[in-house]
Amino acid sequence: MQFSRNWLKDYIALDISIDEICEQLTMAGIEVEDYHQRTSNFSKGDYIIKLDLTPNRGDCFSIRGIARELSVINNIRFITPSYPKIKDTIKFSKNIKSIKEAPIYIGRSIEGLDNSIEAPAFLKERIEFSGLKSINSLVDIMNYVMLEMGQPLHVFDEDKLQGDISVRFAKNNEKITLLDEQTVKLQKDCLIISDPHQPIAFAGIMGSLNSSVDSSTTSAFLESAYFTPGVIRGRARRYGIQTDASVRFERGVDFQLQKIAIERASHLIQENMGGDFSKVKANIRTKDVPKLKNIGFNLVHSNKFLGTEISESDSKRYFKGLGCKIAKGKKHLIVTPPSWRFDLSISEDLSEELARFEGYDNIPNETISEAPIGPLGNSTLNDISNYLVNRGYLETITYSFIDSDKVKLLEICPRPIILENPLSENMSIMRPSLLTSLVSVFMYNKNRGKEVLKIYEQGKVFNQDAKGNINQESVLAGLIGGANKKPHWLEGLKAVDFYDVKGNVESIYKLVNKEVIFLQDRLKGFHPGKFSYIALKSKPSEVLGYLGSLDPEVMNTLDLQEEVIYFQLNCKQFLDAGDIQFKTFSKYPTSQRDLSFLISKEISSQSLQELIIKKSGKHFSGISVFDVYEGKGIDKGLKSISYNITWRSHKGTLVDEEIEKIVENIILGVEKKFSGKIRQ
Amino acid sequence: MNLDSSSINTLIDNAIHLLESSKNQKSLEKSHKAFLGKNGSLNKALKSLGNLPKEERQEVGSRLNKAKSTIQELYIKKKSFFDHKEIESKLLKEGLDITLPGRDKSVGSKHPITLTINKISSFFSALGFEVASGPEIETDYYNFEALNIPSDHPAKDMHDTFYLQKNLLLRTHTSPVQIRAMEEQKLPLRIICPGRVYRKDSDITHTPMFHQIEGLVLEEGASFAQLKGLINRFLKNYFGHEVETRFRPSYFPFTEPSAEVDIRWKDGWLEVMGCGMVHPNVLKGCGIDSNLLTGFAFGMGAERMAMLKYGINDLRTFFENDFRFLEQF
Repeated sequence: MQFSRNWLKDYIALDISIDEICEQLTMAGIEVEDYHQRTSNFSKGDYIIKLDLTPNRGDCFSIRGIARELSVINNIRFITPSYPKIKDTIKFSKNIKSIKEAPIYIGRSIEGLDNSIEAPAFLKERIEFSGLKSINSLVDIMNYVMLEMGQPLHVFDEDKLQGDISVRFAKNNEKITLLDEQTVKLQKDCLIISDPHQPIAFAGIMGSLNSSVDSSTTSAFLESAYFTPGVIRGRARRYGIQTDASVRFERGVDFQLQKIAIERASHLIQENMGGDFSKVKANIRTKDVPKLKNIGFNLVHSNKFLGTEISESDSKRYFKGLGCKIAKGKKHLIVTPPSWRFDLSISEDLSEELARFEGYDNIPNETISEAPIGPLGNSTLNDISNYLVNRGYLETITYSFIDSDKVKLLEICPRPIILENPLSENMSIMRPSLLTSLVSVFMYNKNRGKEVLKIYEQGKVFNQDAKGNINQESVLAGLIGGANKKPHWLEGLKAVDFYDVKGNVESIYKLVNKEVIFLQDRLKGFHPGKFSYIALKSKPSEVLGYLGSLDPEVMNTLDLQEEVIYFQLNCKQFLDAGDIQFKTFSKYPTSQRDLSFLISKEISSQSLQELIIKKSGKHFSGISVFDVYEGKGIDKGLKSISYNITWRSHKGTLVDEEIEKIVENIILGVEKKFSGKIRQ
Repeated sequence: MNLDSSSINTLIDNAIHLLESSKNQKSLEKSHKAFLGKNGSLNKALKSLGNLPKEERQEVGSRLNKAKSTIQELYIKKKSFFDHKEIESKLLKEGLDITLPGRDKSVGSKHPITLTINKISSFFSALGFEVASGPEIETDYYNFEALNIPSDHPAKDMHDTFYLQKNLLLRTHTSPVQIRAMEEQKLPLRIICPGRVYRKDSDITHTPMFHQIEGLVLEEGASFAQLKGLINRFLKNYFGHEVETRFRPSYFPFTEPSAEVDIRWKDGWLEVMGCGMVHPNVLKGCGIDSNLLTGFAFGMGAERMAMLKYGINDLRTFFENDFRFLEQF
């Protein structure tokens, strides 16, 4: 919405600068987007003011509406101009039939006019200043009245109509060629104006080409109607044809304005182009016309709600200025908003009006009450994030929708969640894991010459089960590739490997004080021998995440030759970290032994270790692998694996005999279960 | 041996002089041996004490013993000096070029959006706000209807929504989290909800995914003046104490009254937040009587807050994840 400042003077005698006007409007919620000077041929020093109106303020789509706001803000009189009534000299010979979605439909016929006469220059200037083009006198006058009052009007060439008028819903796929020459197929929820043969207008949106007026028009049919907002909303948008009329109708037009507007237009037509006018034919379905609402308003409550001390006299002045009627109820005021304010229906709406005119900036700043004792926040995820950052990881944030082709290449996604209206094909499915996203970031930065590539991200992943239930859970995922760290003068570059990432994952679990186990397995997209699920030690069936090297074959198709390792952990597991419980520790020295076993390559260190722990007795205190070897000197199919095991008692120093007995037991156990041999 | 007074003095003086002037450990040891060794001159003198008349023996003996301990002290002092010197010269040979870079100095970084969200959340956490989150795939009910945005309401035009099958959609704002909290959590309530949101829009100033941070206070006596006080306090915390702010009326279907918050930025005003009193229809939908509890809500875009804080001028940089960008934080 844009308009000429000087046009306001028809309604208010405003004597303030353009800057003040714009500041006042913006601070009253009628946001001024922009304003600039324009030279007018009819008034001194005009300005064009451009507004960015919120959807609730349909009433401000007119000079009258804006002038009314300014009159309340400045506490000055709002002038309602009156126009002389037109004498009717011809008969109105049409029948008008309408439905409840068009409760007010008013028409008038005009004959013997000369539409080749141009509209008055001042009128054309005002239209042009409002951002519209002058077309012909009749259309210009329709637009002028709309801009002035907010009532969209339509004019048909009477000679192109074939009889009675009906307002009805379109038939499915009924075609209409609109004024802008595009033909649209309507749906049956679209309201149209029709003569007995064909649609003559897309009601409230745009007229048809075959009923339009031009400079040769001599007789016309004027339409001034109230269409319910619900029947206009969404329709213009659906066909991509937002018009000045639809914008107003869908926000709600003053339902007491139709007669006034048609008289105003008639007056302008007669003044300029002459013509014989019929009576105004008003088709009004009273029970379908919106009713004025009475709102009970309690100023004490409102002041408490706002934190203000607005006086009764000020509040009354604001309400009256806005066009509200006020009556005294038993406990509170009864405020009846005017017919143009569809947005005022509850007492909070009225509070906002008071706050607006009081000025939001004049409302005091108060302190909220003391902070409640809420639950302690969980910072575990933040701690993990800090750890990864300290290990050199960069955090990324990538889009949640990804390229379906890339997902097919890298991941399993049997039931993808697909966007119906994606921005593009490469952003069309919701990601089932963060792998594809992180691989993309990896490649982007590798192609820009980065050598150390360690990234992580936290975000939701989206999966669907066979029943169609959507699961959206937060995960923390990381990916590393390239060199382990930046080249250093003391040591060369070292390529990353599986154990770099596993170490990071193990540290995370150390950090959150959770014991987990690693379960060798296979997953599409990963190296068949370098993939592991992670599960809680106390509940191995519960998978908490996974890690693995990406499948070299897949990497080849992406033209990546080096090893890239990925991990993904679900975040839920980190939210229930309880407080740490201190355990007493022994003051006595530890006993330790180094044991090396020769064992089949197939047996995992984890299973061997579990057996050792089981056989280590109640004084067991720790175990660590310090060497793994296979190759020269070791039979094929075997590996040597060495552990350092420690024991410690709470009651005293352990004696050698005790330890020897345990070691014997371990060796026996390993022999029995895994056919492993102790290596001397 | 001559043990007269002047001979003893000469002996002592010679000893002190020799020890003092020794240049290194070796010459020190030699001098030490010459005086205090088994056959050293001082020991010899002590041995020949017996030749003296009885009445002189004690006095001379005491003088000699005193001299012995003086010389011994001097020797120890001198020895430790040479020892120290030797260690030092050895250590100096092990010296490093301390200007060479240290090992493993690589440190990563958090994304500036995360830093912004953390900073804002921690301000509100201190005031008793609990961090809440919710689903990103939402229903029309939680994203629109429960927020007083009925279908084909013009306010819906402001949200270009991504749709999925079965009437699901990607949330266009974090407000559904507030609805879920009001339905599920114990009242009264203070929550702060950061998260990803989605709108079908992509140009220089819009990305199809971005982040919002919304807050909600729902308690007896919550007022518009409290909302103003809280937001002003927050903006001063975030932008610095001198920041100038203004509140102006606006429209959101889910708040009434509604306000837009601007800060003074360079030559003009810059919109940074939206806020308002929770609309009674929203409360009613969650089964809350607006006569008993009132609430206010506020929201902001994390990207804008980050851009202002870090001087980033292109929104799209946030999601390119170029290391040259990420490494700066």
